[in-house]
Amino acid sequence: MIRWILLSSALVAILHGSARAQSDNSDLERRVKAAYLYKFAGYVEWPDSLFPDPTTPVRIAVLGDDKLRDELATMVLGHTVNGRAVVVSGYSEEDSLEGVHVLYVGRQETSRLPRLKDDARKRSVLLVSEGDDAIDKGSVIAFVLSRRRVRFDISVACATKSGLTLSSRLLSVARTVMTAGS
Amino acid sequence: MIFGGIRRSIRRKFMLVVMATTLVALLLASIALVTYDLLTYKRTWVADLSTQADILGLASAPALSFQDPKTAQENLGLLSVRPNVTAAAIYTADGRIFASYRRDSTDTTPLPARPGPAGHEAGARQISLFRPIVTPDEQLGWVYLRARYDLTARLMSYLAIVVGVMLASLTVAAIMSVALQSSVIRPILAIAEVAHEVKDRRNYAARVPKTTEDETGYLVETFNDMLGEVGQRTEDLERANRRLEQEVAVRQNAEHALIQADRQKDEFLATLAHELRNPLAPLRNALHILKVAGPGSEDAMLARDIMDRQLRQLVRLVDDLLDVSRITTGKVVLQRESVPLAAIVESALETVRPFVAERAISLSVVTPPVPLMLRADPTRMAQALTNLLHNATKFTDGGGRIDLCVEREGLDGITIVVADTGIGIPADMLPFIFDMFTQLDRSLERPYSGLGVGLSLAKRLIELHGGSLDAESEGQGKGTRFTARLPGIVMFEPSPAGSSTGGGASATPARRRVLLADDNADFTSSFGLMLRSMGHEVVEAYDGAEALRMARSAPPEVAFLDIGLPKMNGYDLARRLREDPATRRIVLVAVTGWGQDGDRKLAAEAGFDLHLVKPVESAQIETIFAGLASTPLRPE
Repeated sequence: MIRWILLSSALVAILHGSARAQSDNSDLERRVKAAYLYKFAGYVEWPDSLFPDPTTPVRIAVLGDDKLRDELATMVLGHTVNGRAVVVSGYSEEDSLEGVHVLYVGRQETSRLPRLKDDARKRSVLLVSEGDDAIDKGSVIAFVLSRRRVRFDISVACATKSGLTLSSRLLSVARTVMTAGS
Repeated sequence: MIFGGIRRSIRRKFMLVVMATTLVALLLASIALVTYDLLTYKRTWVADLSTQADILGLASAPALSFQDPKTAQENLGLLSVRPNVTAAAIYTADGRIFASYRRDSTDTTPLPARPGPAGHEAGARQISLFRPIVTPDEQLGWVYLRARYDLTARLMSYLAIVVGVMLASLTVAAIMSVALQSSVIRPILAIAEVAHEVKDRRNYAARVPKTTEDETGYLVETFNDMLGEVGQRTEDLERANRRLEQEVAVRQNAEHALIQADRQKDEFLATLAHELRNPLAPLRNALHILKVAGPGSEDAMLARDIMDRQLRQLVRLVDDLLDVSRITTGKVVLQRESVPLAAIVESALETVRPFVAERAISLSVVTPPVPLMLRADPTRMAQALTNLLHNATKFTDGGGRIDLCVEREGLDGITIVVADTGIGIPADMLPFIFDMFTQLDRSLERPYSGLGVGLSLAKRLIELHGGSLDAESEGQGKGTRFTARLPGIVMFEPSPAGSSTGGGASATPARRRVLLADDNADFTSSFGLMLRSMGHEVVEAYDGAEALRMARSAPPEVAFLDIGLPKMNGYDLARRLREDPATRRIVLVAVTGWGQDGDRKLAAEAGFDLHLVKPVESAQIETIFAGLASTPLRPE
């Protein structure tokens, strides 16, 4: 038992250590992702109906990653995108996508993408998610780690289906630009 | 060419002006252009680089946003198409170098460690600038560009262009100035040429052709006018000069003539003294002989003869002097009367015969077969002839010969020729021998040189009688020939041929048988009455045939015949009368209204002896009959 405990504690310690390391890494990663999230807005063109007013802020909703949501909320203070203020909010499945411009779906919630996909496309919401399969699940932009750096893939097809136009300058810095996607 | 130097000088100045103007204009223009260009070049270059940097920044903004230096690097790599850009970099907003670019290894200057401030910095060889990368929302970073900015090279290439343009412009300017020169310089050269000719050849008629209408043309015109003026004045001057020269010549001639006259007078005085003294010595000698010789002795007779001759010589000298004085002052009055020419000739011969004989000169006298009468002053006429004969005697050597020839010339002219074989007269002296006091021979050897007035007196006396006297000579040593012509004073000599008495004209006329033929009855009757009143026996005829018949039946001594007679005219009548031996010796006198020379000649050819023009004066008739006084018939 002791051995188990020792073992388990050791494991915990290892896990903890790795978790800490993981935690350091992910802090940075999260911050980068948060920054990218609101910067994406500068390269995306939404239908005019989403900005009925010149002062209408860019709304970014975050699903399944509260830390990132908080980070982002802090980051956007005092920043604008194309002259518009940026508003960050959490998102739950009960919430409406009405007025949302960017929806980030955290790694743990990617399974919900297929369900969100249709509503998001209908409302021209830029879906951003994580992982190599996120595009297949309907995400327009998917963060990926490449050589320990945060990069992203883009599906022009998904963007088109969502009624969004992406700046080619954004495409130029993407890791992969896919023309296919569900 | 004398003014070659001038020509070169004008050409060079002209060229210099054109070239200098062109050069200065080009230099100023070039400096302005280059300055402007260099300023513009820098501004343009900075603007260009700024734009380049902005484009780069814009393109690299996503790379910065999304931490993608690779893309930024790729963007910078695009600068390879801009060779002038040697280095570039993109800085993040917090000042780190995000991406960098170097064209090649020539630019070793390190990139700035920190960015900013915005703006450019131009060095001598390169220019660098920082441009911020901004989005509307934030500043993402900086772009840094560094480019070659070779002002010197650009300046050099500009200088090369300017030098090339200048060379081309100057060449064109030189060609144009040469072309323009011709229109400006050529007229000036033409003026110079003409001026040269005027100066050298004094050709004031030369003119410069006017080719242009500008100031040069005006100059040419004025020059030509001036030439004309100068030419005119020169001509006037020369004309005045010639006139002065002529006047001087005339005055010199006059002076010369005065000197000549003065000298002649001196010589004349000397000669006069000599001539007056010459007879004095023989006179004194003769007087001495008379004193010592017994009266009536042979010596006394000789002395008396000498004295007589010498005195006569003296008297003649004094007479000559007085005559010269009278003729010169115009005080000679001719006392004309009808006088037989033979008497005058004889009188002259009588005077000179002693001298002729003394010098053993042969003298031949030829007189016409018809006795002739002159209306003349017998003394003066004889004096003239005597002078001619004296002259001939004086200048003919012993053994020489003198010919005196008296001839009729036409109906009413007489020529008297005195020719000798003496020393003659040089041709250049012929015009002067009749001048007063002229002496050809001034040698002392001449036994008789005289006063030099004889020929002059003879000529003037003959001219007073209406005649002329000429001298001819074929030269020195070839003798002299004097010809006196006495016109219109021919009468028949009244005395028998050879008579030497001078008073024949005053003898009582004999009674003559006269035939008078004229178709004018009034004329025949009045003329017949006049003849009868003179005591002549007159028969009258009214036409030629009648006159011929009457002349044949009883030949008259004198016949007065009209020329325009009916039936037979006067010329035919005269010829018929001359053909018949019975009537041949009648003295035929033409009485007509025509007095031309041609009429006289025709009458003489037909055989008339005399020719009278109506109206006929009784004095003329009397003279004719006086000449016929004792010669009833014409000589054969």
